Amino acid sequence: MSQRPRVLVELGVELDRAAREVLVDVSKSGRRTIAGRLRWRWRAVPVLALLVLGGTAVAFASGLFSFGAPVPPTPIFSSADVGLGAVIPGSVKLLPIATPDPKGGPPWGLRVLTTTRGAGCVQVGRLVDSRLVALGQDDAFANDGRAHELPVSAAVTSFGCTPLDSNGRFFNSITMLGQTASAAWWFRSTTCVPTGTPQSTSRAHPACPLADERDVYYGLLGPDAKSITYTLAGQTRTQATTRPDGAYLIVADASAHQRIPGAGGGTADDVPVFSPITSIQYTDGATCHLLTAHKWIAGFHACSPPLKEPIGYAPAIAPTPAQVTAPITARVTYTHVIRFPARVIHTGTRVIHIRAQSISIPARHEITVSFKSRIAIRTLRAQYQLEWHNPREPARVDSYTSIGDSNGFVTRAEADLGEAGAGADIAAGQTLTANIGLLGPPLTHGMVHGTITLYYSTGPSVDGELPTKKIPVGSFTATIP
Amino acid sequence: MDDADAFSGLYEREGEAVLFFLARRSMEPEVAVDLTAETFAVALRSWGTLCPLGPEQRRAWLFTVARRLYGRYARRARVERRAVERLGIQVPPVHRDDLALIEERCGLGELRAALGLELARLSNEQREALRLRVVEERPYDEVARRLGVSEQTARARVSRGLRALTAALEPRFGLGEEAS
Repeated sequence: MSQRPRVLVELGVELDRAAREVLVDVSKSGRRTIAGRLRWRWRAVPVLALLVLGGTAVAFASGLFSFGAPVPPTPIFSSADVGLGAVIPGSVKLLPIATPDPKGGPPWGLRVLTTTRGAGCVQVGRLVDSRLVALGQDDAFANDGRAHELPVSAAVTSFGCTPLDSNGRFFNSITMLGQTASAAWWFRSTTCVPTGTPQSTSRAHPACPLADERDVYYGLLGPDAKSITYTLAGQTRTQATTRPDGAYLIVADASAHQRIPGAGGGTADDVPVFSPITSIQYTDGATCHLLTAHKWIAGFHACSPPLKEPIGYAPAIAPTPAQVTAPITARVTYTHVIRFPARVIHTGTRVIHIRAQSISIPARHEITVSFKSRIAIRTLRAQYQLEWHNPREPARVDSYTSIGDSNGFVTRAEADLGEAGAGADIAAGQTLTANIGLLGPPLTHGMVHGTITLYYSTGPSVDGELPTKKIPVGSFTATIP
Repeated sequence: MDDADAFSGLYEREGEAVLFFLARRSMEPEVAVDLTAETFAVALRSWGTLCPLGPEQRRAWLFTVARRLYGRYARRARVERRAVERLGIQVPPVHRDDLALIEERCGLGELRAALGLELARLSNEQREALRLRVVEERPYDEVARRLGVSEQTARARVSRGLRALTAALEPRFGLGEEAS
């Protein structure tokens, strides 16, 4: 038997430990519960200052902070039909919430926006003159002491955007531990490393002074959330949320050695996790008691009693099989050229345009699978997937191919669109084409079987164990000579 | 067998295959370990979906996730760690002995030799972009500056070069999971 790398064994131990913490034993609970979105490891956080929380916006005198150059925008919202989509005009809203910083200075605020592809995003920053800004301190902006306005595209975290529900609202609770008080987190303008950031192994930056770091808890709990109760420094407080989004924002001093286990200081979920919030009170009298005393937390499962979905959340409505079923064609060819379509890659901060190209390889069989999407897809929630397997072989890695996945090797849409699919809108009637066999395992002699399925998330986010409907589009066969 | 046992059994069966698959793709054992950890963390978070599947479907599911994570890594030059972070999983360090073992088991030496040949077939522009970005690990803005092109062009050259190499090597070295 071959020797096994030690790191695999150690990783296995760690995964096993995590599995035992996050998977509730069926035999004990009587049902299967996936608890694994987060586990709770509460460590008492000595807070140096009590927070004074209120709904009254603090107008910060502009004379105290002069404005420097705005933070440069990023192209994250540059395309209406790709990625997160474009910001819907008029949707950007500064919420009526201002939370004092423990050490003084401009308060903290929140901004929300919605996009053309059905995403809702929440952003945090400091408030100066009713503008969301980052401050030139903590090594940011050469410590120029000025306020630098945050354009909507420059204050987006990977956690900050989730799909809108059927009522056009979104639910997202974010925890950021050990981040600099400058609020200049997203564009790496600091030269020190906040404790809540994974330490780079390739670059040696000093840790930021602890006094400059904050723990920031913020998010939107939905229209029915009336208030939250949280405990900091041994004191329990109940704070009204900001209507109609159920918004909250808590800022506290960071403490030494405080990390979310595993890595960085940021995470998000449908209800607050890794936060001092112990309960959410709703307008109908219901209360979500967050299971902070437990060693695991699982999104809205973290509520006690468990919730099927966050209170006030209106599930997205997936199309029916009758709406998506379509004829599929599969054509076998023999070729030695792989053609990569022109495409656009959205990395979150950049948009990269790649021209079409062709590459010669040893000749192989290829199946070109195509169908017409009967429905328009203009949401992050939906994705066509293709599954196939060679004769007499079970499903394998290449059996799942996202049509239009931004990976782009085997997927492309016709009509010279350059890119289409999961990362981009699909028009009703648009022909989608995927190619099998040129890359990855070669096709083998005999009958190849495959199916195409529409994956449609109906839950508050698009990943994890949240509800996803799998709607069959159709199946195909192709004979490889 | 409870869910945790079933999950650990899945890792026991497929962990090495996933690691080697990712090592062949990335040719970086440390990156492969990080991606393997994220792959199984995603699996753990999605256990409700994964649990009812049969062994082969689970395997297919795992490798799909692994491929996607690798694809994101290749595009963004950083390993996605969302699931690992959310689950609080500590990814162990890769020991020196492990590096040699993974290199040997995955045939990375042979792969690198072939890669050298394929590199020679790339255009000068693509090869230089790859050398600066992949070998010297310089940031894209510096790659762009050295090449005298825009950052967007530098990224495109690196991306095209990597794709060309993958296309040339994959059929010969079977970089799919069945080769592990």
